[in-house]
Amino acid sequence: MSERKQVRAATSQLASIVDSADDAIIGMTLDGIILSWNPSAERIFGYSAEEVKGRPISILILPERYTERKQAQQLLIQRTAELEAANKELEAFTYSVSHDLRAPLRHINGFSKILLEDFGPQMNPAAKEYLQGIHETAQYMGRLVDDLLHLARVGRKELILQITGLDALVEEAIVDLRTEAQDRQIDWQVGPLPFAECDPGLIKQVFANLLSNALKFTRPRERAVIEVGQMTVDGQPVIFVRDNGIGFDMRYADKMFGVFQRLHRQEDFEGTGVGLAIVERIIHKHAGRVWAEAEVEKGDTFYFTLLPPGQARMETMPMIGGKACRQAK
Amino acid sequence: MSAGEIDILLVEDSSTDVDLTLHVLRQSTLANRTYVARDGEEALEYLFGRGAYSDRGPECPVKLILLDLKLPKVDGLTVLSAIKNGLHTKVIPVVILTSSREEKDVMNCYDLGANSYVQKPVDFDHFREIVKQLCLYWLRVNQPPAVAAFSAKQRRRAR
Repeated sequence: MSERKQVRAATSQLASIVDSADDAIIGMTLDGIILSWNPSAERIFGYSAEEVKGRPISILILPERYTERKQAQQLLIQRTAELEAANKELEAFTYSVSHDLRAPLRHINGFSKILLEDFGPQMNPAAKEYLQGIHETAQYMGRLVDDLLHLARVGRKELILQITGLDALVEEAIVDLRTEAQDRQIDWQVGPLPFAECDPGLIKQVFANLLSNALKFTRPRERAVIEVGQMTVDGQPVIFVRDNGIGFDMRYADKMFGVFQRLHRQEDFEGTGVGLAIVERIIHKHAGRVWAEAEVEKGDTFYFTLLPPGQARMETMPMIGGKACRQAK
Repeated sequence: MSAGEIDILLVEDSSTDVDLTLHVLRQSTLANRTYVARDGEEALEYLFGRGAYSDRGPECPVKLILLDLKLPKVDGLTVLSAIKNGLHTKVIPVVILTSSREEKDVMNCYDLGANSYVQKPVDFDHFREIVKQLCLYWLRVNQPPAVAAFSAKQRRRAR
């Protein structure tokens, strides 16, 4: 075969590979002007070769992607707004129900107490015991309701962010716990803590709840060791609260943060199981994470993240959408 | 409809809460004469000698008002406002005794001149302790002005 025929055969072979390919194959100049456009490109993009040849690639392709991204971004914003609205509704409902439950509970509590006081001596011992049961249950339910109210209120509260020294919050929380801590041997080990951009009132509560739990579950120990400090995990600052108490079974680690979830018996350790739910709610409001590690009888550690000063102003819009907007300009 | 000395005016619409509060007040010997108004309108008529109480004089011998916020007919805040603006009534200590602890309720009450704001606890022993303390403070420890002299001074100032 002559050279010319060889070249023609090679060219047409290459051309048929391009024409029959399933993928879109687009020939462009270095400036992005379209020179060739194969049948798959026509199929995928919906433009014929005549429509696109000689035109810059950016006009044809990015707007479509831009539309897709814009739609995805809009959907995400919409879904986030719906989720927030649903959350707010749930919190308002929880608040209003808990609030309405208080008065009837007070009445049950009151009348059972008055009965016990005024008529106790004349009562059959069994009857008195049952009445005592009613009274105590009403009291417990009162605590549950107050705790639920507390949780709902925390959820509804607007964050007031300011740069806060976490050391000061821990100190205040420890001072508040001194009554519980008296007559006990407690080794408080508080390391240096960073500054964070947060709502000081709410984060103080996080420390108060975690430290109160630490105090409670180290009661069986002759000498309680409670540590508060910071560490770095994946480049992010993490605060931890560690104790040498009775710990818990890691199989139930996820359940612990649920409302009214308890991993110990009421007779052994008092509480309604809302403390950690409140901690989680507050940390999530601060766009942080909270988790725990433990070993039965060896103690436990609670970790949480907060944003360092300056990062709390991050937009909630996803970065993908943000970039797409910038590119389209 | 006695026009005599009344220690406490209890303004509360729930009959059960009235029963419980009266029980506690009876146990505490500090509050011997308590009058109960079941809604805002009755409270105002009693305090200002209007309507059903027009036979009462303008001077008000009530030493302490325990006021709930959620009241039928005329609500607690309106009653509070009327009390704190009334010539003879503004000097009477008003303790808001209510279920709510909403920040805006607390603010509004203090804004209108409430002397104290107390949330009714669910626990009865706690409730009893609080009511006893309130009575002890406002009826014994606190020094009120002589009502007649105070009213006279207000009248002179108003001219």
